Amino acid sequence: MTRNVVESVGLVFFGKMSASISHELKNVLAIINENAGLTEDLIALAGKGRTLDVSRIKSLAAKVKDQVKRGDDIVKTMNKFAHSVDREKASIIPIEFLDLVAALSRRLASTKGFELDVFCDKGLPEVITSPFPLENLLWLFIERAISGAGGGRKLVLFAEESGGKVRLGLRRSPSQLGIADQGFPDEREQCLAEAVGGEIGIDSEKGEIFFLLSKASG
Amino acid sequence: MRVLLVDDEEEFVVTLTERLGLRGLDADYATSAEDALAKAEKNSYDVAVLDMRMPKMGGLAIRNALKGRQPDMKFLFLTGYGSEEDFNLVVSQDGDSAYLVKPIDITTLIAKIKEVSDRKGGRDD
Repeated sequence: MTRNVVESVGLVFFGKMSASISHELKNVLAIINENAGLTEDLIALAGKGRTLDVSRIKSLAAKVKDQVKRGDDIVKTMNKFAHSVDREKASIIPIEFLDLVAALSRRLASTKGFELDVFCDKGLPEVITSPFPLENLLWLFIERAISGAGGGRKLVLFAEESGGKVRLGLRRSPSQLGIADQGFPDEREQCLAEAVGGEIGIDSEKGEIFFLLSKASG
Repeated sequence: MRVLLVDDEEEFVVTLTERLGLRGLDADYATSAEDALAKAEKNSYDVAVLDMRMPKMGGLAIRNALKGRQPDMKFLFLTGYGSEEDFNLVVSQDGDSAYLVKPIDITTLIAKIKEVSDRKGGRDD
């Protein structure tokens, strides 16, 4: 039962993130296309006698390079995400893990008017866990925070030490705006928490949803 | 012809505006719904070219707000998705509009702008 839910919810999550990544790449290609097009336009005008501004052409070439860098970063994120299904259990570095989840989710959060930041305690140890279900669980936390949100427009993915465990989660900023706790955890959240192997919790007054992971094992 | 381009990717919309200007269109741009609505308060546009997916307010919602201010304005939608879902949304909510997938060809864009501009009326005109 749990495995079926985890697999079907995971497929939806994978599809949603893939669609979002493809949208971002389309935007990168669209900008490169316009910069290349404008370069052609200016060269064509020069052919008709208008002075060619070399500094403008250099600037357009630099913009293309910037977008290639942006596209490369998106592809690297996509690649890390795709490989997160390779192993059922793996060692993760909390800050790198949260950065990946933020990179995947930032555009979707932005379309709903939310900023997404990452905060991580210094010196947190690596944690052995199930990467893909944990990414999925953190995304469900983001969805929950967005769907129940009133005025708050900032979400923070965090990782911190808590009683000998690592506490990973999401908080709204400012925290007193709270977080929707209706039906928490729902079937998807519960099944994913079981698959990851940790303790799930919510503090609606503090505006936090979190997940406790053992340092030594997940 | 006066055209308003609305897209949150500033570099895209600024460059496209310049390219349309080089081809003789009077083009203006906005990078958010608020910016677009503010410009529509001050200026009159024949066609608005709207990105479907933007922060806070998407293209269809901006279209409704602009239509309330300028009932004769025509619309063209852009998207990075190219999904059937987006296409159906546009057709179901505004059968007189057109839809293009990024990256776009400037000649096709201008042809579509002229095509929607030439259409008379609209579903809620």
